Order: sequence, then C-alpha cells, then structure tokens
Amino acid sequence: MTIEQSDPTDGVRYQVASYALADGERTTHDTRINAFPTAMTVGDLGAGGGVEYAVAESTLAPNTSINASTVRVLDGRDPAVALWSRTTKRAADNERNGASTWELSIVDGTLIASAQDDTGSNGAENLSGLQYGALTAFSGSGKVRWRLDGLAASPLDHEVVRSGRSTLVRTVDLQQNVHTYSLGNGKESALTPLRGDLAYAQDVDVDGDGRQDVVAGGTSRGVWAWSGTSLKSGEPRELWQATVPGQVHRIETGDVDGDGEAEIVVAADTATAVLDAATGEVEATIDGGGQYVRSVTVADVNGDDAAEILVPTDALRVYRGDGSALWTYAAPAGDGDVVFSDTVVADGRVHTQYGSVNGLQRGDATQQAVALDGTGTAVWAIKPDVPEIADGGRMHGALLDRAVFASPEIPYADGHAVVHTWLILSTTPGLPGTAVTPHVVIEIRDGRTGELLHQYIGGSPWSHDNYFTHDEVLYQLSFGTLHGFAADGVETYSSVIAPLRSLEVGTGPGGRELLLGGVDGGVGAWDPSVLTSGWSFQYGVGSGSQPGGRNHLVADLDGDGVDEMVSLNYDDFGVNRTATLVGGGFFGQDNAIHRMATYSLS
Amino acid sequence: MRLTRSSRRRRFAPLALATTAAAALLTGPALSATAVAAPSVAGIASADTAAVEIDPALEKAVADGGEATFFVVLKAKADLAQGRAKKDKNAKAKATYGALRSEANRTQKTLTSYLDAKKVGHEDFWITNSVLVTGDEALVEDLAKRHDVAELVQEKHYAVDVPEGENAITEDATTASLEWGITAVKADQVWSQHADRGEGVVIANVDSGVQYDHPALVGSYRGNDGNGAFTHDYNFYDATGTCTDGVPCDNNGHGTHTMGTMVGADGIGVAPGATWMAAKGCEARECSDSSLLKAGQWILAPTDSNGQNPRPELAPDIVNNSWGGGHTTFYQSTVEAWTAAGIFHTFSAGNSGNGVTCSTAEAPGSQATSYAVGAFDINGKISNFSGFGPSLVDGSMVPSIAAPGVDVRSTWPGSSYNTISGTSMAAPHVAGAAALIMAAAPSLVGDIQGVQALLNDGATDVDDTHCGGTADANNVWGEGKLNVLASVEAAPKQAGTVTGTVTDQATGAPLSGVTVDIAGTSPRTVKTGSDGGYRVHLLPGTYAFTLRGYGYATRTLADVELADDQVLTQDVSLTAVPVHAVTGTVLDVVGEPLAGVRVAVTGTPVAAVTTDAGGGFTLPEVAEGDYTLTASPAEPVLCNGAYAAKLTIDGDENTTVRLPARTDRSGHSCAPTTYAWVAGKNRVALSGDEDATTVALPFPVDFYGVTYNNVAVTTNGLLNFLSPRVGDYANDALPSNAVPNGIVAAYWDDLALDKKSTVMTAPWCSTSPTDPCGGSRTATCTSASSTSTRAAPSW
Repeated sequence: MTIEQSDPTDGVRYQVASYALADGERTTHDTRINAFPTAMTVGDLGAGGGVEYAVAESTLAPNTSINASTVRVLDGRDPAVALWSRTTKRAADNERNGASTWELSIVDGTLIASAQDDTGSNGAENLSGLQYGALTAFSGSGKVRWRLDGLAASPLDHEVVRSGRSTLVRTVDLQQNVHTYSLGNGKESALTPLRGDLAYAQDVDVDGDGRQDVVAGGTSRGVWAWSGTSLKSGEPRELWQATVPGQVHRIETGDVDGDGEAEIVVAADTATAVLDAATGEVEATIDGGGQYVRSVTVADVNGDDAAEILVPTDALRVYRGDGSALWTYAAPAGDGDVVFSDTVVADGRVHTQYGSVNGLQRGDATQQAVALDGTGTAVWAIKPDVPEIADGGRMHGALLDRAVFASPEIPYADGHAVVHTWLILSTTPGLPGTAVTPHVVIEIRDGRTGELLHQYIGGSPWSHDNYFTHDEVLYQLSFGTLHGFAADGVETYSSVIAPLRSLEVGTGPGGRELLLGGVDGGVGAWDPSVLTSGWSFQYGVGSGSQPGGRNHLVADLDGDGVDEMVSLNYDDFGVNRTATLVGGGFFGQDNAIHRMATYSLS
Repeated sequence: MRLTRSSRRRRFAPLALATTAAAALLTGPALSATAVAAPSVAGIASADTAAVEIDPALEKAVADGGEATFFVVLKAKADLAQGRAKKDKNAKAKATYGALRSEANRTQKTLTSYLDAKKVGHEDFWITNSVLVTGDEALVEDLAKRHDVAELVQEKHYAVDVPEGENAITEDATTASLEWGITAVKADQVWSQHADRGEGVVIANVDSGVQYDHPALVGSYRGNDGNGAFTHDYNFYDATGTCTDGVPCDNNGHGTHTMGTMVGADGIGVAPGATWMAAKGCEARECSDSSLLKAGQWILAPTDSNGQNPRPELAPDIVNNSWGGGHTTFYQSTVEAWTAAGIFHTFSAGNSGNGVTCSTAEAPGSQATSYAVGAFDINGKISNFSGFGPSLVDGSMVPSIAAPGVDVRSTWPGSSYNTISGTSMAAPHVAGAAALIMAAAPSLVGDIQGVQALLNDGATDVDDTHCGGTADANNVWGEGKLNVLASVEAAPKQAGTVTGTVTDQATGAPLSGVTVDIAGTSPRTVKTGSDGGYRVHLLPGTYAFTLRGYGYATRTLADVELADDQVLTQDVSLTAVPVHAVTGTVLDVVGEPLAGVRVAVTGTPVAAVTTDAGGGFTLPEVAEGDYTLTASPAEPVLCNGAYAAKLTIDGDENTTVRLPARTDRSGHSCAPTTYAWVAGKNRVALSGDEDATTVALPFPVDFYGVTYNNVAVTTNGLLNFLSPRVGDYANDALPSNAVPNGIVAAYWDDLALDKKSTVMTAPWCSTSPTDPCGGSRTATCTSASSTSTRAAPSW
C-alpha cells in the first residue's frame, strides 16, 4: 500500500495505490486533487475485515498556503472508500499556512495523530505557530477520545510505549519537555524537562563547598544546578534538577525564609517557584493568575531580615518566602490595563513603574513612576515629563525589561537617584525628518522625592540592554553603545565593535578590573577605558565564540578571586512576548547548536 | 544616417542564439534557426518533427515536471502590405487591424479548439497571432508537434527603464522655468519660432499608467470632456487589471513621468499642445509580455475600458515605450504592426550600460525595427547607464538617437513632480519631438520613415566610434543629439494654420473643452483650451470644421479653404440649447422596479442620480442633444446587467430603462426563475468535510464552449468540471483568476457532511417540452439539445 505524491511542480495531487506482491501490478484506489499526503499508517481500527489505512492530507488555498488538514480512514478491503474523516481548518485569523498532521499511529483500536496547532499564530505566545502542537486520539469510529494541544504536545511526532499493562503515548513539546500520556484517557503520567535553551542563570553555593555553583534554566520547565568547580574544570557535575510550572524567564537568589541560606526564586511563565538551593526541592509555588510571569525581584522590603519576592505583572505583588501574599500595589482603575516593569529595592523603598498594555499602539497610553514603602504605600507617584520630540506630544507606556535601576553610584541626588525608562514614538534625535519609530526616554529622578533631575532620549527599546555604574558614572548599554551620565549633566558616548547585549563590571586575572558581557554569539571582555575614551567601535581584550549565545553570567566559580564567565542562550520567544505586551515585537532566531559554556579569564 | 541593419544582423547572428532564431521566424526566413527542437528537412515536417522552435528557457522551466506560461506563436502571418500601402494614417490603421484580426481569427481556431478540448485555458492575441497558455512538458511536446505552430516562447517580464536604486524625491510645486531637456533639444525655439506645440497630434505611452488629472496633464488628456467630465473609453486602457472602475491610475509614477516629458504643461513637456492617451502595460515596476501585448493591441485599435469595440481610427499618431530588458524579439511583430498602421514609436535603449562597454542595449529597443533612444546629461555627456550597440539581438546600430535622460524633472502621481534618470526619460523627449514635427508638417502623420529621417538628419552628430560606426552614426549616440528645431526647419512644412476662439453667442464668454473635429485632406481633432482658443496645423486643402460642446448646438463650418502658409483665424460662436428634465423608471431583469441604480448621461457634466425605492429617477436639467444614457445596478447586482442606450433629448423626456441580463464575456447570462425541489435519488460517495468525487453526466454538457461528460461534486457545494479538487472551502467573488476554475458555484461555502446529510443526484430525466422535468433548487445543467434534459445534483 502506498501513497504517491505528484512532483510538487506538477500540480498538487496524490494517489492511494497498491502493488501486488506477486507481480508488482499497481492499482490506483483513490486520487486526491489539491491535497498532499503528510502521514500514513496501517492498523486495525476495529471496523472489521482486517486492517484500515489512515492517511493525513493537507489542502491548499488558492494562494497555495495550507488551509486544512484531514485525517482519512480508508476501508482496508476497498481503499477507495473512506470510512470516516476528520478535518481541521486553519485558525480563522491565520492567513498563512495552517496546521498539518505529521504522524499517525494505530494502537489498540485507537488512532493517534500528531499535528501542528496554529491557534493564536498571529500572537506572541504561539508566534507563527512555532510554539504549539496537538496530540489527538480518535476512536475506531472517528470520535475524538481526547486531545492535548498548545504547549502539551509535539507538532511532529509521538511514540507509543508499553509500560507493564499500560499503553502510553510519549511526545516532546517545542519547549523540550517530554510528556507521557495514558493512551486510554490522555492523562499525563510523567513530565521530564530536557535542557532546551538555557537562557538564565545565577550563582549560589549549592553544595556547601564555599564556592559558587550555577543554577540555570530556560525554554523547558527544568531548572538545573551544576557544581561551579566542575564547570570550570570542563566536566560538569549536576547537583540536582527541578521541575517548575512553566518556561523559565528569570532566576534570582535570596534568603526568603530567613534561615541564613539563599533560596532560588524562578519566574516560570505561569507562576513563581521557590526552590531550596541545596536540593532543588520546590518549596513554594505562587500562581501567576493567568498573567505572564516574566520577572521577579528578591529583596527585603520590610526589614524583617528575610527577603520578599516581588512579581511585576498587571500589578506589583509582593510575597513572603512561603508564597503567601504580603501586599499588592495596583494602578488606579482609571489607568486601564497596565503592565509593571522589573522592580528594584533601594534605600528601603521599592521603585517600580508601569505603563499601558499595548502602549506603543495606543494614543491614550498611561505611564507612571512609583516609589513604595515596605507596606506597599506610595511614597510618591509621578507621571514622566513628555519630551518635546515625542510624536503627538505623548508617551506610549513603559519599557519592561531592566527599565528601573537604582544605585548609590549614580552621580545624582546625593546617591539616592533612580532611573526610569519610558517609551515614545519619535524621529531620531538630531535628525528631524527621519521616520517616527519607538525610542526610549531615560529619566534620572531623585528616589526620595521623584523630582526629575535629567532626561535623555535614547535608542530603540529593543536595543536597550541594562544600566550599570562605574567610577560614579551611570551607563546605559544599548546594543554595543555605551551612554554615560556623569555628574552635573555631563554625558559621554562610546561604543564597541562587538554586538554587545549585556555588560557588568568583573574581576580578571591579577585583580584587573574588566567589563564582562554577553554578545550575539558568545561572551567578551573589555578594558574599562572603553567607557571614557569617547571612541566608537572599540575592540575588546578577549572574547569567546559560542554560536547561539547571548546572555551571560559572571561568577567566581573556583574561589580564586578571578571571575569565570558562562555563556547562556537567548530567550527569543519570551523577550518577544515581553515586547508584545507593550505593543512592539522583537524576534530573532538562529539555527546554531545551542550550549551553555564556561570560560576562564586568562 | 543609420548603419545598414541587414548586413549587421547577418554578421551577429551566431551571438543571438535562441532569440535570433525567434526573430527569424517572426520576420522571415532570412536566418537558419539555431535553437529548433526538431529540425525539419527541406521544409517538410512530419507529424513528429514539425519545425517548431522551443524557447530554451521554456524547456528548462518545464523540465522535471514544472509548469510554465508561454506563448504559442502561429506560423501564419498577416500580410501587412495593404496597410503600409495606404497613404492616410487612419486608413493604414484600419487596414492593418483588419488584416491582423482576420488572419488570427482564421488561423487560431484549430489551435484554440484543441486547447479547449484539453481543458487548457488560453488567452489569444491577434497582433502577434499567438496564444498564451500555461502547461507542462507534455503540453509543450504536444504543441511542438503541430504544423500550424511556429514557436513556443516562455512569457517574460520587462523592467521600466529606470536605473536601480533611483531615489525618488517628489516636490509639490512647479517652477516657472523650462526644464533643461526642453532647451537642450530646442523645443522651446520650435514653440516660439514656429508657433508649434504639437497641436492636433495624439501621443500615447505604454507604461505604468498616468495620473490623468495631474494639473500639468489633465488639460491635454483626450478623455477630458471639459466641464469636469471625463470619458476614459478609448483614451485609457489598463491591461494589467490594476486600476479600479475603469479610472486611469499609475501605481508606479514612471508612466506619469514619461507622459509629462512628452506633453506636460508649464515647461515640462516637449509638445504641450499635443493630446495624450495611454495604455497601462506595466503591472508596477515590471511589465509582463501578456500585458504589453494587450497594450500593444489597444494602441493599434483602442477599445472601451472593457477591451471591447475596437476602433483603429482612434489610434495615436505616436507611442512611447520606456521599458525593456534582455535580448528577445517577441515584441518585434507588434512594432511592425504599429509601423504598418502608421504609428510612430520610440523605445528606450536600456540602462544596462556603464559608459564604456558595447552591446549593452536591451530589447525591444535593440531590435532593428525599433527607434531606440539613448540618454545624455545636462553637460552633454552620454550617461553612464545608456545602452550601447551593436545590438545583441540582430547586430543593428543602437541607439537610433540620444536625448536628455539624466536628472529629468517631470510629473509624478500625487499632482507632484520628481527628478529621475534613465533612457526611459530620454525616449519621451524624442516622442514629443515627433509630435512637433508632425504638427509642423501634417503630411508626415503616418509617415514613419519620413519622421525618422527628419529626426536623424536634424540630430547633432557626436563622434564616438569606440563601439563601431562613424561620426555621423555610431553605437554610442546613434545619429547624435536630438535637435528638434533643426528637424522642424527641415520638415516639408506644406501647411496652413487655423486658430480661433470659441465663445458663447449670447454672452461672448470663451468656451473650454469644445471638440473641434476637422474632416478633409488631413483629418484632425483638437479641443479648446481654458481660454476657448484652438490652434491646428493642416495640409492645404478643403475642410469641414464641426464644433461640439455640451449645452451648445453643434455647428459645422463647411468648405473651409486653406492654402499653404496661410494663417486662418476662425473664431466661432456657439448657441446654447435649452435644458430639459429626463425622468424615468429603471426595471430589473424581470421587470420589477429597482432601487439604488446609478443613472448617468455619459460624457456630460450632468451629475449622476440614483433610483428611488420605486425605481424612479429624475435628471432635472440635461441640455438638448444626442447622448448615451447608462444605468448601473448597485452591488450585489445579482442577475442585473448594466444598461447603455442612445437617448435624444429634444424636450422633457420620460423613459423606461429595463436592465439586461448580466452576461459574461462568453455570453453566459443568468436570470432569476422559479425553482422547485428535485428529490435526490442516487447518493454520491462523499463524506466528511473536505471531499470530492467525480460523477458521470447523463449527457454531454457544454460549459464555456467545452463539452464535458463528467463533473466533480464537492462537499463545499461546487460542481467542478476540471477536477475533483478538495480544500476549496473559502468562497470568493466571481469571476476570479484564482482556483478553483471551471466551476458552477451552486452552494459554495465551507460545508461538511455529517451522518444526517448526503449529496444526491436527481434522476437524470428526459422529458418532452410539454412535461418539463421541473426545475431544480440546486444546480441545473440544461443540455443544448431540443429535448429539455436536466441533471440536478442536490446538496
């Protein structure tokens, strides 16, 4: 029995045909026009008369995009007769390729189908259909026994396994979690995260050897701890592995239960998870209430000697280490749907900001900077000043990632300054007549009063990386460019030649101060003089190439006083979801083999 | 003086490869073919070895199972000698059109019947006697065996000739001064010294369209009826299907720019007194062979906006072509047809040059039959993109002449102006110059060789022989720099001039937009300008001037004698006619009053009205005269067609307008009727959501001229005569070029068959006229036989 597809340029059609074993004589049973076959299997679906043939086909819309996928079960005695069929049309809002069915299996009278899932493919959560899959079990008569879709299944394949008396269906979702389901009812019996892309990490002493170890996670629901010394030696030793409720978008550490030992706190997409650092055991899970949990801050906000967990989503929610709620700060109802930015704690105050959901697309976006005391009461709340260059004389909400920063090194407000980052649409500063595009507005305010001390129009929000200080100058890194804010309104500018995406101050051999950061495709080190030279496109003093790398971790893993660097991957879908929340979008993928890699500085 | 093309063509033949072979077939047996699929022996072709040339690009495209769109060029060629022999340009156009059309009608039928039988869609062209089809290797092989086929040529696309990377900067305002190209070719001196701005000459382009209401172009548009009304039929044609509602458009800007250089007002155009028309043969940045051929046909025999009712006597005197690419010969027969019809043409030489390399000119400009134009800049230097000869097509000299083509400012869509470069900008300078020559010397209208000779002789020689040629004529500059003043001064100006002002007899106010039809020795049509004035150059002779303007009685001045060198001032006053109300009722296709129908008097400034709930309409004030009354039903039009009929107004009029049945181009029409349910009897083997199966028809059914014995029935409510396609669940407005094709869309929607539903066929009944089978609520296919036989599938 064969399904034979025409040459793809010779019209779109396929035939169900058979060849006689005795003499090879070919018989055509059915010809399907404007359809191409994607999967086939043979098995007994209980219709009588032996086996049935199950064929999956996809059909084309006039513009040759895939518009539907049909699973057809053909009579084994006469394959020209379809016993039943089930069609899945592409989603109503999808004008590109719809879902196709890529694997079929018949087991125990059940037909299992693995297919794509194009639900919400215009949105960020299933961008272009690249995040979801669907696993469907049909009865012998074509009834859907169960269906698992979205993040629960692979769009491509599955395997049927026997375990004792149980028959199980195993599939790997696109975030690299292995799901095992019962054939009978589709109930999940096991979930095993694979490594996926490890995009986030922190250093903490997990094994109590007095040296920092690395805790990392990324696209899958797994979090791993590796011995720091083993990473340095090139023979990674896993200390534990934990499973959290969703993809990992941030890892922070802090003593949230006041026992003197640090815990691991993970922003896990749908919830925040607190892990015991020594064992990886999940000590608390804080449900995100349907919000996208992309950020978490761990800091003591109320002076009780235990750090709290600050989760910015549609409100800023603060939790104790056991996951119980301490307080919530929400925007006034009149501000509409808002989203809160990454939050910092300084001077005993919680500094945060919020802006309208989809603000870049709105003409009535709101945005506000807020300082809160340890009980969640506003010390001050101020709307940012609209700069003159802002198109339409209005702002478009708040940047979310690493958009709020505080440090006593910022040379303003006597060491009490805080930085906020807002969104506007504008021409390129200094170049009137250029296209109106999203830009960031950087504001330095007095953290005690909220007073505006300095304002600057930066570059694209999708290029903003992070703030840091050096020699009492505040720097903003924006994709390889370094903008300095020194005292008295003095500004500096320099850039590096590498595609630099994150930067911090670290320690090199001999105690040498270095700037250490992650670049597109690895890690790099720069002499601090690049900050003050005023030159553009400066070289570094060292680099490590790691295709697919972008994020980084700096830590002294072997306790020798010299930092190591860990190259991490990039949370491409997660960062795009964050950008989409404020009305933008930023997505780039690569097809390199992704790894987490440890580098020594020498 | 031009180089001898025939000798060069022979010498360069081996270089031309397949395209040369194509040229040989299109122009005569001068060359042996170099790329024949199956060479014939001594002209005798067996069934398997017909001497059909196959374009190597086509062979490559259909290899490995591919499909391609290609032209089937027939061997039979119309004899254009009859057209060439006529002296009068209108007679040339009519004779040439007649010869081409009748030869195509006579010789294409066998081929098109064959294609119909094979269910291969086709589009037929008379100007090249070819048929455009899409198919695979098997179709190519089948057609290659035919005796009536000369060659199979893959469809190509051409670029509008503007160098890549051109950065368009538009401006809103015009400037008072003349553009540099106008003074460089001395057009301004022709205007001042010879009182000649191209009046009475009709000029066209095949380009990306034109912004017809651009302030610098609207006054000279032939479709401008004055008083704010326009008639686009016969004056603008969109071969690409880009513009909507028959209104001219330009989605690129290129066509508006080249038209401005020819006829634009305010110092932009070379011949601002000429009248323009245009064919949009370029989709946007590119022009497809099929669109260019349709445009080429329309230039020779302009039609209404629907491509119907051709009138070759309305063909332009001049047509500019600022497009090209490659080294094909396919447009050559179109150029030959234009020439036979007395239409002077210009082509751009192409922008693939680098200022040094030879043989960079591109077709069709590089074809020996084309009058090709190279580009020079404001300093008089040849541009660094201008295509040089000798031609890679046939070895002929390219360009024919050179004209301003660098930083040329002209009209641009959005009623703005733009400065761009290219041989595209040079060619319209020459086209405009030809208009000045024809206006100065009316005897040269239709005399292609005469105009070319004057352009060549007047051109200022530039000695650059690095690509071959002489100081007089070489492959860099052709005959030299365009100098239209010298050409006009050398022209046989045996002509008189008639000028005048048309006024209202009662008020003395000047009347603009009045058509002045001049019949006689050299027929012409001009319109009055905003000051009511007109000017026309005519051969000495006797003429009848007929003046027509809306709201005024038509007046004819007969037996106007005009002598050589005479300047006749002929002021005319027109008498206003009374206005009357036109009322009536519009009935739909079954005779019921229809609301929402747009009723208009074409070609007049009378505002259109819409019928009320009772189908009634009132046009309160329409001047006496003969008009066409139109009635267009609102969407959805259902089975109602558009109405157009002559209406003479000599008092208050009351008329009943009955809309005709909506009819497609193949003559199929629809009409509402009473249907009754036909019970299904035979279940069709269909199930599920996306399924289709083929059933045998009980009798042959004719559908768009093709007879079918089977039809596919689909779960989406379609009858598909071509194939049992699945997946066609999203319905679309018809007619449509998109698949599915060959369908009866009875219940077209995203339908699915559940366990309770079936698709049945009704009894195939054969009844007598007195015992009709009864209608069918679903699709009913009625045979053409005398017996009323119907087949009814029911969903």
